[in-house]
Amino acid sequence: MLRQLFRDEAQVALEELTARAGSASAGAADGVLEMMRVTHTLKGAAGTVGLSEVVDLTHRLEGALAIVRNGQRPWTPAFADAVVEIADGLRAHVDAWAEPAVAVELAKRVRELIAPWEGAPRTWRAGRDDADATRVGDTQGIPTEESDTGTSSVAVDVSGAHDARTLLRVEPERIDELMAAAGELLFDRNRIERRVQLLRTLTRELGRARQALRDAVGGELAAHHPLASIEGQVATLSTQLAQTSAALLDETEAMRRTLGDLQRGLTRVRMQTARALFAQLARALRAAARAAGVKVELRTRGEDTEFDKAVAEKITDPLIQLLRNAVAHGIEPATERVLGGKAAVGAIAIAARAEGNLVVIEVADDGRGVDAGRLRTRLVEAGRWSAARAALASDDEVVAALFDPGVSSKDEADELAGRGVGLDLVREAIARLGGEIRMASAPGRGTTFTLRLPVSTAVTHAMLFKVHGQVYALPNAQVIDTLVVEADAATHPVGGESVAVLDLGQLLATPGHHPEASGRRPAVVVAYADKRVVCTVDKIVGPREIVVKQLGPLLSPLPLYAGATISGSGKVQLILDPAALIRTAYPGHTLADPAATAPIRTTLAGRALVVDDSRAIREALMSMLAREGWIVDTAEDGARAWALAAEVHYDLVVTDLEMPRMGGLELIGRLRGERRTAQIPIVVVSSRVNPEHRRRARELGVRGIVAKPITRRKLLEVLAADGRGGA
Amino acid sequence: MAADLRNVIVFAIGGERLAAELRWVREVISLGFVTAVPTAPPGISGAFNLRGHLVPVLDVGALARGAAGPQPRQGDAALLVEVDGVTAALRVDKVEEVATLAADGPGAVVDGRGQRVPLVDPGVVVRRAIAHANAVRGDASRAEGLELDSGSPRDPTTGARTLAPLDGDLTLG
Repeated sequence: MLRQLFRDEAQVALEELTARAGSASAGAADGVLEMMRVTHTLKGAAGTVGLSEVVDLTHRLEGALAIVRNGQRPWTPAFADAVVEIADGLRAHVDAWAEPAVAVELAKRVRELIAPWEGAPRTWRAGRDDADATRVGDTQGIPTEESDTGTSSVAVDVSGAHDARTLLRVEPERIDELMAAAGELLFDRNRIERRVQLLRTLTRELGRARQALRDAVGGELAAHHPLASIEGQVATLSTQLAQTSAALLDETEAMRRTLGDLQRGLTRVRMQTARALFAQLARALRAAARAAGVKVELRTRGEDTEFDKAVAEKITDPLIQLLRNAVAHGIEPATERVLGGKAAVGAIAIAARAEGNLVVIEVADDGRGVDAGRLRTRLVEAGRWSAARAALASDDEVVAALFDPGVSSKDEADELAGRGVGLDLVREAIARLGGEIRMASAPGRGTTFTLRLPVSTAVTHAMLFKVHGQVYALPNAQVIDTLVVEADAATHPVGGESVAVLDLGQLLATPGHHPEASGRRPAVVVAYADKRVVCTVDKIVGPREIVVKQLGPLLSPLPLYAGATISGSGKVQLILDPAALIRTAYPGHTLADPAATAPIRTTLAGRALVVDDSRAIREALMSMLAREGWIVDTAEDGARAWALAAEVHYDLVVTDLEMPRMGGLELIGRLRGERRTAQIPIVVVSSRVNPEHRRRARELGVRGIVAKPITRRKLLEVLAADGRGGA
Repeated sequence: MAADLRNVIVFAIGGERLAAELRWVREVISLGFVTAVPTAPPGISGAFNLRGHLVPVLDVGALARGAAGPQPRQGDAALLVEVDGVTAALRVDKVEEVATLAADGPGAVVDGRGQRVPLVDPGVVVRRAIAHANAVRGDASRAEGLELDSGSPRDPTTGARTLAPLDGDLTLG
């Protein structure tokens, strides 16, 4: 247990050491002092846990740092590099605690790394000869002045580094479990909401039954009649039931808010800075440079840029591939660089920055670049491109051909083709995250890759299934169950209710595929608005997280699809629209279509938001709308309504004007100003409707105004009216 | 008489040689795996993933030549065109050449061997595909409301742009 804690702490400390050693201010007295502090703290912790090896190694490193701190030896890139390698070695040693033999070997190696920097400075150059000759950034033969220029261009900002010891380190799987549980809760909440709506319907039915009872017995009941007391009991119970279900509704609303907070909070927990990613890339780069025998210096910028941990994990390998390619095929040998008028040491810069909802990562090298002219010839010669295509393509498009699969095969992997190694996979990985990658290159001047990625992936939970060999998706929020149904069944019982069966094999018939109905078939149960449908499929693939993509003007008019996603293997998969499936299964039933320009009719069902600071009025509106088939959410002021509208799609908003925190007019203005909500029909209910209010509401495109007291008839008239009518 | 010259790309579909003006064509590509889109109208053959973007594949034969072509398959050649900000891939059998050729009337060019090559207008092909897709929805007003071409005339009374006529504006070889 203690060991585990120590490993976590050592991890943080060594990462900080790595970051500081590479930083611009490392050479400053403060920088070295900080590194000594981190090292010292680590030594203390190692002592507490009883790791004498680590105590010894950190003690030695502290000594080496002290020599620089005392001015006995200058701060050089070579020393910075040594510190980074020592930190790496220590990390490996700590990680290898379970295998003592390996740990001893690693400790020996770290000791060797530190040795040249211990003791008198006169040995500092001579002592380097036994070290790895192809060490990255090795200063052999490079004048100190140039090295200094090199370091000064490094722009790592560690000033904002958190005090590592105040951070809580958590296993990522634990966060994932929490996220999954929160997702489950969302699922549960939807089910509870449906039950509550049902409860309210039953309450109303009970009220009607009571009325019928009264009528049947005949007007006034004599006080002593046995039915009188029963009728009285029913009346009391019915009132209590109504109150309870109303309270239940309020509670589910509170639950929705809390769930929203929970999900947002968890998303924030998943955010991390680029720091750890950069440290990992630096290690990979050193290994690649060592293997290729190239001298290269890494410059990083924007370490505090934040993005989703899942995104960071998935771009690590692609970024390492880009660095490997740069080292293996981009950076020229030192002699060639000097002849070309470049610094002998190559430079690779990695920069991260936030741009709205995107994270932009740039990987740039100052190597030989890609000669588009030669590549063009090559593509035609290799038979990959027709001469016509090559003639038509711009230089950028030719360079982009390096992203195509197999443009650089092994037998032609010279420096030109080599740049394309694995780039198809890199692009695929980025695309899967909903991002894109571009490449710009100038011959002799270098190559820059620009990655644009969503800060957190636009991930939706979806149920995936196969029909005629193609995979389709349905949003999990509308999938309530999966089951198996008999072939040719027209209906199937779901929760005691008989639900229509829709054969997706028939609906999604493609040329060359014929629907086959044999035996029992798997099905997904879709719920939307107040309807359900059982959709038979060929095979259930299972729930997945998918990145949703827009369909564009050519495909979005097709009513059946809500979007698309791209599979792990790069295939387009269509996302079905639950509303369209319900419409297909119940042709007579009209659902709210937010995009429809047709006037709302009272038969519409969809999701409505009622905003009023009076609970009584909220309740009244809710029951009126629920009777018309709407699923109703409520909010007690504009601010809450605005927050709800950001998360939930509404087909109708009914709002009061005067409310605390945010009034109705401001809410309407905001809804109209947001593209996603601009078209929602809005009805105003207000006790004080003056001409000025009326004018403002009209200007904001309000469908109608209902003066309080509200009656069902007034509300329905406004709902039935078109945009110009109302009030 | 100075010849009216056109920058065109010459390609073949179903044994017929056709040309398209280069200004519409962004790239010549080979198709990735094409996903079929059930319920799509004839002319929209599917969609594929181009560098992380979803791109519909159109059948020029069905949309402009009156005869549907084969289902597009991975590896087929295609012209990536952009019309009014809408990107689509036009599947072709083969791309022959990029050339500057003399126009032969408004709807054709004459190639180096003196043969007449009919011109296909990708703008019309894409707009027609969008109109067909909107027809599936059965909402004609939507199709008319789409700002497909800033050059299309506005209705003087409503101010709405009218969709370019779907027939008669295509050149037949």
